[in-house]
Amino acid sequence: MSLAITFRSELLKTKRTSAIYLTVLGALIVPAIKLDELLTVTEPLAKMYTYPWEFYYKNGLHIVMGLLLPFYMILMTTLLTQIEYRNNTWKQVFSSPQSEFMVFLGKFLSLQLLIVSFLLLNAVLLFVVILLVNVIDPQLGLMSQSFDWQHLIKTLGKTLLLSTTVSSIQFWMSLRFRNFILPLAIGITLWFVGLMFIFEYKTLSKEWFPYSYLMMLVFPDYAHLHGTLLLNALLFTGVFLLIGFFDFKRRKGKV
Amino acid sequence: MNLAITFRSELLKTKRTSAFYLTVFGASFITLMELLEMLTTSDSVARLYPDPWQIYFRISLQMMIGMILPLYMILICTLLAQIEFRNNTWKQVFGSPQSEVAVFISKFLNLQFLIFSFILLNVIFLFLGAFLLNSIDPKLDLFHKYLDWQHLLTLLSKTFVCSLAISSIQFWMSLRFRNFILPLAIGFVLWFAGIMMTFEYKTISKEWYPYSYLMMIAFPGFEDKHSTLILNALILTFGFLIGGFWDFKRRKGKG
Amino acid sequence: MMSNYVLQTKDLCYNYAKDVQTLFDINLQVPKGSIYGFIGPNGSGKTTTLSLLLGLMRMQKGSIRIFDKELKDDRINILKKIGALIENPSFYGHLTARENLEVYRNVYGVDKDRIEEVLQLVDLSDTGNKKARHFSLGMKQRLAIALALLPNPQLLILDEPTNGLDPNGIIELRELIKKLNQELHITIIISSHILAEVEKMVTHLGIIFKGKMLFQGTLHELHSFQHNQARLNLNTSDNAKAAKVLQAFSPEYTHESFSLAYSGMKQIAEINRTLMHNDIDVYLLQPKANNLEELFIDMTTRLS
Repeated sequence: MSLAITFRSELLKTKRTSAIYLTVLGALIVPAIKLDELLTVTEPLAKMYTYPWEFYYKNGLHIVMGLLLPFYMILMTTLLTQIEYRNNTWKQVFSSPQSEFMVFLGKFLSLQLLIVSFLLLNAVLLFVVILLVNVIDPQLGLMSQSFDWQHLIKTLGKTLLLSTTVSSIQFWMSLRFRNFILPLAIGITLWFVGLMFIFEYKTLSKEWFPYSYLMMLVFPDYAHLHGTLLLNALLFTGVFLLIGFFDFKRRKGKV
Repeated sequence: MNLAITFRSELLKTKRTSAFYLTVFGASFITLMELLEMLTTSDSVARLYPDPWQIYFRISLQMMIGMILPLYMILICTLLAQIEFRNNTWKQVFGSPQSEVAVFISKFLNLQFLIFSFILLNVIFLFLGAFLLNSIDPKLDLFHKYLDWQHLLTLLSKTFVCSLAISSIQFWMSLRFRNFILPLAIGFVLWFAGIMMTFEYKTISKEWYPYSYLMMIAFPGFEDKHSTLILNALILTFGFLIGGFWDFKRRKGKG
Repeated sequence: MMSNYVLQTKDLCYNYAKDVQTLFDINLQVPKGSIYGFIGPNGSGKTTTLSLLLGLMRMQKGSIRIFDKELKDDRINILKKIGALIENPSFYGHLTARENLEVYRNVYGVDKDRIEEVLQLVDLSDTGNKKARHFSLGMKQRLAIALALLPNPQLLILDEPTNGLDPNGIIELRELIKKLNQELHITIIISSHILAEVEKMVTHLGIIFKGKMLFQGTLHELHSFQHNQARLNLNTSDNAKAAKVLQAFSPEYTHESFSLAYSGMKQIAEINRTLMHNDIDVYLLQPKANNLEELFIDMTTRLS
């Protein structure tokens, strides 16, 4: 019960911050670029894709999952914790009748809520774009093609699970550092390293580098690893939440 | 004279902030990644044998110029402007006998000084990394291999000039918004759109999209556009500095 | 011709939004060598006025003369001779006290010894490597004052400098301000929302309320102004009737309070007699407390 109260109080704190705008406008980017692409290319759309629904994923949802979502998480995590730092409200939070655990969990949950909203918003807006294109160019015949819902739901589910690793690491760092540049710079660097691991370098075992996970979900070459990734992700999330919580408890009030 | 005084005061303000660490660690990133790859995988050093300097610099500088440098600029611009916002010191700055134009230019020069150091440090670290590789694997024979100095210098100068366009836009945004998430989020999105425009989409004319410039300088296939890019970068920088200054002057004290 | 005023404003107006005016025709006159108390409740326009004096905001209407020069003509040179503390203490948390002053040392063109001088003046010379972020509230305030003193100012503008100070800190600050004024002949403008806090050190006063100046003059003038405004609190068995029969004493009658204007003790006796003649029982007949605070509250509540 008290978690619900703390969670609600955490949600209220995000009111009128850029969290909402970042989520909504951030979720508009890929659909908008996609729409622009679909409307301005000259060759018939049908020729661009081997099957009509492919463009929902290619350059669409895949870009969201592999590139935009990690960025969004890095920014959003920093934004959420900076609300307390900027307003000097940590002391108020800790002196109110909420356990440290509730505060920690309440914050993490409101972060997850925002991340889920971001992903779902993207998925929905991409649909809107594609239906719109179908209206403009009926030759596509989307309506006559069956859409693999199961696949979409599975993909979104996997994405959310894998994303918790990055968000729990970022969450810990953002609570740890008063300075907002640190979690941002470290997060972006790690994300970048993840990118290089996928495309350029082969040194480390990718299964243990969480910032690569979401990209591995996108590329078909790694399909055989998905089971391992999901397991590792849950493991990592658990560990980082624990570390994060103990660190949070130990440091409270020192901010 | 006045400008020198204000510039010195700006430099002093960055003391003990993360600006310095961000520059040094950020600049060592590519070198560390290269070394990690070269030292832990078996055939990657051998790949360099035929033309070691050129191959080594091509991979490393593509990453540095096209990806790390824009990210660094977005972060450092926000960091510098936030020094005043976080400490609530804008009023003190404007209440002291310094003209708005001296404050604006000094801050911009301070920024350019950091960006320039970042590029230079990157190159120095890359050289150090190369010498280290050479001492580990003397077959590389770097001291007897041809290094195209002229090409390197031209590339770096082009990089610096083209980077001005991004840094002046980010500079303006960072001074404009008290909220640090805004310039960061907008910057990342624009940079991101720049990647997509360079490699995926063809709708807008790339020559007028500054966040694509560095990628077009770094990656092959755009050589014919380089002189246009440099000219456009200068025009855009000039435009955004004038606009930025006008906005800065108009909004002073409202921060 | 040199005027006696270090600072003068003429018909200063300002509005943040189109239809909400914050300042109405502010005419400040700060004499050379004075300690000018700029008093008003929170939100009455003090900070807005002081920000305009420093050119932090664009002037919309009116004029500001400082050191006999128009502010807008020669802002930078005027600012060289002004030390300022606006709203919250303003410094860089990641720097030490010395480094914070060093940031501005060349801007004001003073030499290195001056830093030690002002640190000594505000008693912060032994803070060493401690970062300003970790200072106590009082130390932060003193650092901000040190910064304001750095340029050897001829005019010092302090916006609510006692905010957050403990009683001891307030007394120390008061002594410091008097010393700066008497020994170094610095003219000082000090704003506050508590009259009692500045009453003991100021020579001149300006009272602002809801963006309008209610009073401006010396402390002495305020006392005589107050005398003319003396009022009598009373309570009777029939206040409504009493108000009617005492019409000549400009009664102010609400269900909370009942007061009359008077001058001299004889009038008090006269009022009492009138009440008795009219068969009204007197429960209370008392001159209003005779301090400036009362007057201040009076002035400001009567208009609200």
